[in-house]
Amino acid sequence: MSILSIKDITKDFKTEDKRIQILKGISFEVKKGEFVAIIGSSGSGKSTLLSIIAGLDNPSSGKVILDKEDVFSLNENQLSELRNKKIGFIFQSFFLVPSLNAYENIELPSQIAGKNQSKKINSLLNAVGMSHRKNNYPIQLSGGEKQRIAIARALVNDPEILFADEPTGNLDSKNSKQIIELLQELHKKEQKTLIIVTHEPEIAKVAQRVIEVKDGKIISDKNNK
Amino acid sequence: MKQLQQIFKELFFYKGQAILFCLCLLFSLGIFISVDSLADSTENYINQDSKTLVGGDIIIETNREFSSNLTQALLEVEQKYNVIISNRLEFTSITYANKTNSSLLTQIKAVEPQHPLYGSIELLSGEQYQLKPYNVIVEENLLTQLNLKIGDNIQIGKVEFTIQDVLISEPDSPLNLFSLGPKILLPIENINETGLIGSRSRVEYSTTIKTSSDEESLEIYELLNSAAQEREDVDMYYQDGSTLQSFTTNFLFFIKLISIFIIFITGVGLTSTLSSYLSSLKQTIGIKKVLGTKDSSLVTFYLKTVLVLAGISFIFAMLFAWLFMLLFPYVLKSILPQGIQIGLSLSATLKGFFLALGISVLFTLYPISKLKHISPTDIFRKQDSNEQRFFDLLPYYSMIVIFFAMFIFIELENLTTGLYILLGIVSLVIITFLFVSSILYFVKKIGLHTKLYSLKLAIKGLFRIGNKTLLIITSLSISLTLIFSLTFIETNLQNQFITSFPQDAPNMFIIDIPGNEKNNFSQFLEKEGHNATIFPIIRAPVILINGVDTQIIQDSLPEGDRITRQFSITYGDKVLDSELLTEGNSIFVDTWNKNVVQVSAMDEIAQRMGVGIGDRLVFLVQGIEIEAEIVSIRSRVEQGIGAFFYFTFEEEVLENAPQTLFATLRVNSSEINPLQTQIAKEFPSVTTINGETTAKTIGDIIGQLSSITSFFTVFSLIGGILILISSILATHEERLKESIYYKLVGGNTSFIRKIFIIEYMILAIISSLFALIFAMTISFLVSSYLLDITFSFLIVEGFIYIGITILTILFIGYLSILPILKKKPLEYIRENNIE
Repeated sequence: MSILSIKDITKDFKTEDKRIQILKGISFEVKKGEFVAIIGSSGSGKSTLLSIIAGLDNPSSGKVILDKEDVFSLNENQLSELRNKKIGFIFQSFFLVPSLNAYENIELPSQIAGKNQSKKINSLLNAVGMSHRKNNYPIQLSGGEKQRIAIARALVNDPEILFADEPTGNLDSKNSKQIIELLQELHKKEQKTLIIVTHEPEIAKVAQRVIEVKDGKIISDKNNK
Repeated sequence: MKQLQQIFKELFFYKGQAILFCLCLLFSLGIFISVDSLADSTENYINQDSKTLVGGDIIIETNREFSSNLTQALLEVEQKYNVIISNRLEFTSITYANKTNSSLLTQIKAVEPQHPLYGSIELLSGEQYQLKPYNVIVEENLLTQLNLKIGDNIQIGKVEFTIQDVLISEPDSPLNLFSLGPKILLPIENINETGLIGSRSRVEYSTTIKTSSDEESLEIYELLNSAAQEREDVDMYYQDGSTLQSFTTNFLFFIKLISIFIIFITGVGLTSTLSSYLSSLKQTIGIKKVLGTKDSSLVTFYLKTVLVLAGISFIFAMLFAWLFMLLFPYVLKSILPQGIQIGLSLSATLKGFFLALGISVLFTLYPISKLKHISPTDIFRKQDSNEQRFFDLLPYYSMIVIFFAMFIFIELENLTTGLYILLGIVSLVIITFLFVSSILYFVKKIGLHTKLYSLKLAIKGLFRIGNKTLLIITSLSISLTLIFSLTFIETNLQNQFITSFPQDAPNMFIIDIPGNEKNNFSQFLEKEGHNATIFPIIRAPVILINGVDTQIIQDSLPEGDRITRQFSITYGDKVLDSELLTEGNSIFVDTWNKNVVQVSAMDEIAQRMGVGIGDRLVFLVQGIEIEAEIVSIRSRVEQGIGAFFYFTFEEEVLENAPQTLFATLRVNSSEINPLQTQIAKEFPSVTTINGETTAKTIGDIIGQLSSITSFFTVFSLIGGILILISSILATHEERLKESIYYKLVGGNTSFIRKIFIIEYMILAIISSLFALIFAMTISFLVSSYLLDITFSFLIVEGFIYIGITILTILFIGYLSILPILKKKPLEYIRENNIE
């Protein structure tokens, strides 16, 4: 069953003298529980694609259906609700609120949703191996630790789908490996749909499906064995 | 040159912070330069025109006829030296117009033809001043209030005078602020015919002398001074402490203090703005460091940037000061002498220039020196390096305090006063700082335990890195405290004297009723349908207190009411309705058998003299010494306008002493003027004071002074708001980050708006609540102990001020976060993730 349907997405940018097409009619579908890696070289359009799929940017044309909802027919508030309840984000730069500690950062989406989930937060802290650091502030955490907290935060509202944009881009090899393992483990355990944009071959290796983007087009879409 | 180009390029790129920096500086500098220039203009006016202001080279002043010694000495001077002498008399009297059947309390100034000895009198007609016999020159408001015109007649005492012209300005009295009625110039040769002299309690006698040289002046001064008796003041023109000198200069000094305070407040804004500027330039600074720029070169470069900004601000501050000075004649109309030439002074401009450099460098030294400790890696990884600690800041704070101390000492030219003021300012800042710190400590605790999530996030936001919450609240609180205190004191003064003029309180005060006219006067009032309370008044000084010369005690007292002056004493057998017996069983002791007489004293004068029950005072009543023992102490229940006497004797002691009578009565407002006119016709020597009009005049004076002070204090509030804006700018990146992160995890705009609004609300509530409490305390202390008026806690007004403050801060805060709220998450991600 498809949870995400991308139909003929294009994205143009206008410069002073010409129009540049970043995405040139991209279409694919993602099944529920699937682990998809979108790869491509720098400037291939993969991050722009992820932003559009996640509803952070508008396409020039095309449609994105996420869990039966047409993402671009939603207004700002509905989009916020969608991001809060159905989507989890993991970014290269972690994007943790500096004035909140680890626990409070994880708690943030559930509080916005009006839920009190201390049990779940604690179990997520356990799952990402950060229980002992729950009272620490982002400034006191290493890059790897920050990303673990960001992953726990992305999962707290039990989203339908997780988007990760270069999640290991700011980490050293040891931490990168640990994060990849963690994502893999969470995917297996929680059966979440996971879409990762990356240029790391290690991630591509562990994904179920790898979509390669080049010059704004999908040049290959393969399932890993 | 290349470096200057680079500085301007960077400033242009981050023009928001550059403009705010200049705004902070130019506001405070502009106010300082303009106020200091004004003080210089006033000082020049007083120094250059001091002979004109005094009216001669030498002035003699007293409130009784000159002693024979002094009169003799004056005659000798006239014969021996080539001098011009001009005598004058000044007193208040009721003037009425038969034509319009209306009357008015006026300030009579009887002058000789040679008046004024220096300067010239300006008249409405433009004609040269020459006062004709039985003519008067009046201030314009007399014509308006009595509905008269030039050529009409007015009655002063027993004589009818013709209005010759309208007085525009008179050189020896350039300030009219404290005048209770319009001035009338009349020929001294006609004064005796009016019948007003002799029966009056308060007549100012003065003589001015114009000499031919300074040496001659000194000789004459020595001669007259040695002949002068007690309460006869002989002064050289430069010694005379005129109203103008003491009032305007003191008031301007007070305003200057406010401007120094504003400079201090906006200095904090400079720190925040430059921090924000440097934070925006982090990438550039990182690249410069990577490319090998030395830390010292960076520090020098940004110090130069600050100096460029200080220079630009100084130029605009001059413009601002100039514009401000155009406003001064209107804003400061009531305290500025007529004919003063206002202009920017060189010394104020130079001071402003050095001040601009000084405060810019001192207040920005810390953020600039911090550049040395930032590593390029921190910058590129967008990591916050070290947080500021109090002890890191201590040397910078100390430098700032030393700078301000030196500045205040230079400005005051008086170490002791300077120390008091510095201590006052530092104490106010420390008290506010400690109070705000403890409140913020509790707010932080609330943030940890509250279940309201938006409140929790807002409180967290208050303590975000770079937020100058403590400084913002401290500076806002101090400026609001000043404004609130002034408003409370003014409102209480207004309530005391004007708004709530008690319904049953007397509103007509009649003074100088001759003692032998008591029955006639009572019958007259009865016929008119009024009942008056009549008090006998005898004027007498206290010459000995427990055997010690009063002058010796006076010399040891701090400034205030002079205990050597003439007191209006009375006699009677009961405590007035407006008084309360605080010591003693009754006003007088029935079984008194000592050889001294009994006297009841008012608590405030007893306190001033340091006496109580059992102490003995010697009064000099018309040359006769009366020794009296204090047997009771009274206190005034009601303050404000009303009858009260510092000393009350038993009737048999003073009934035969030469006395005048003082009457108080309550009449309908509409009947005051007709009755006043009638009294003036029947009893020309009697002066009637309209309590309601007087109260209104006092209220107007208070209102004018308060408005001027508030006008300047509002700029300290603007200073506080500039800090708020600069702090929002300094934390822009942090706020933006938070806002985007909230959006990424599903927070919508209203969720984010709510958090920021609660944050500003907390800021505004703490600042204004602190200001309210502190202002109430200050105004209570000032009202109760300094002004001696009944203080009412203006709770409703207080909450209205809090409401206005909160709305203002919310409005400014909200305007500043609008760009943050509008920012799309993707734009931020692109800028910060995919570079």
